[in-house]
Amino acid sequence: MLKPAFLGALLWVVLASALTVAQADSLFIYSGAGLRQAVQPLIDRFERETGVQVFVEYGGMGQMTTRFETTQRGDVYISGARFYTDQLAKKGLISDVHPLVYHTAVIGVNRARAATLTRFEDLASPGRRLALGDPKAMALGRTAESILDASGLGDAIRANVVARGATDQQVTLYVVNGDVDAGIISRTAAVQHADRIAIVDIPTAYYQPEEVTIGVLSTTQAPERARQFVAWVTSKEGIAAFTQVGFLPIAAPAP
Amino acid sequence: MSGLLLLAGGCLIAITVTVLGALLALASHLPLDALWLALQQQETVFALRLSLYTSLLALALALLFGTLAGYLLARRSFPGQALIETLLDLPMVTPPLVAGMGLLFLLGRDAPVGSAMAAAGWHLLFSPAGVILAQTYVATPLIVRSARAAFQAVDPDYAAVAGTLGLTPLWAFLLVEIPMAGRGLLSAAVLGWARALGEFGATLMVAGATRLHTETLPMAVFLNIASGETEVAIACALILLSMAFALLLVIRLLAGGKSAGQGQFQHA
Repeated sequence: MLKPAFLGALLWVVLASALTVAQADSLFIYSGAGLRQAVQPLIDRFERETGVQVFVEYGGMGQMTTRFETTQRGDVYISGARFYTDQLAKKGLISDVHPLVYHTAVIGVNRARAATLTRFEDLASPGRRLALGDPKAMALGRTAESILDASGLGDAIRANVVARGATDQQVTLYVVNGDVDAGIISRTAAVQHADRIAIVDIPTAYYQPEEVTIGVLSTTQAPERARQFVAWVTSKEGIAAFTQVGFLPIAAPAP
Repeated sequence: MSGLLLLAGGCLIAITVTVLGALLALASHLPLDALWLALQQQETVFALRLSLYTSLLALALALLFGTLAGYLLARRSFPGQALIETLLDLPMVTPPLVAGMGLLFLLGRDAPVGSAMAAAGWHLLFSPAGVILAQTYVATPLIVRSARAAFQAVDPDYAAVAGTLGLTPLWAFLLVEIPMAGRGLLSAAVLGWARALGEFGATLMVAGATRLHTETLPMAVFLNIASGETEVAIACALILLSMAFALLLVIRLLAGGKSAGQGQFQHA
């Protein structure tokens, strides 16, 4: 027979096991969603070699910052743009900030339309369909806006924008799918979809590429472990994981 | 028995306190004057208007399609009916983002359906029309299901009698069966509306996240959380929650207490 005491015990077991999931030797990391291809293999290796369990949350940088400031929890922060770690540093919430690689923007052109879109200026020709990132929600959206402003073609290009995305991959998906002719996306996303996307470089005069940065959060409960992880990501092998997927090394002169 | 009641009471309290706690925490995060300011922002007002406009149109479409389809499912049986009904249940369990991807691929400019529609001058992608499509997509299955249950609870003999008294089947449907299933249909409508109003994932993919263009209330919540502007996000969230609360309360009242609620779903 089912006794209430038994039901109660069952409830307690379910609750307790739900609450203990996130304990033991672990690190909690925030990472820009666009960095995932490089960050995930590094995390996997770190877990294998140290036995430390790593929890990672990927997302747009604005969202990550809000999440961190609300929860006041986390050990390491990997940012798609120095802007966000600078903001945290101003509030004394992050230390040991290191630059990793350049997060560069390119014009990703759907291959079916690549013949007619070969230069930056082509974005401004009437009738183009373009997608950009939301300038407040994602780092590359902000970059794209400053590129447009610096090019002097901002108005003409903005008139061609038919959709905004909330993430780099959303904008990329629209380009891959052919729903737009082109978009300003990360070089890594363009490289990832090289079969469907042709790359048109953005003149360097129009912008300063973003630096990907990593730092240790002030809320860390395990500073040693956090620094160990940062050291691993900033190592030669760590940087190589980034450059392999299309990020540009900082040692080389900026493109 | 009293031990069980005590335990059940404890569970009810735990659930209620958690829900209430999350709501109060959300509301207390924003001082009243900041809330008032956020409510007056152009973005908030736009999102509210777009949400109302698109969700009501989506509801009208979903009701039109859903009521008729639900009626057919309730009144006739045909080969493959179980398959079709299961298929129609799928959008209810599909993550909305996946539904959005599916619709995006279906309606993409290079896809057959999408290019045919574009040729006809219908531009659903990246437009408020895309928002309506996404909302209709998630609301319709819900309405089909509820409408089917509502019609099943109505004895078909009433329409048959109306027929013998000279009403054509269409008029019997409109004048006899719809009013008799009315309460069930109304609560179906409210559920469908609530679902359309809260729709986010499919809208994000199909209509894009363009501020002041395809920015519904849930989209405004998402974009403003993403950009760290929590005031507007919370203001929009509170509007959504108050509307949802009102809607759900209406369902409760329409369902008229426990007995009607049970009656409506026992055939589902």
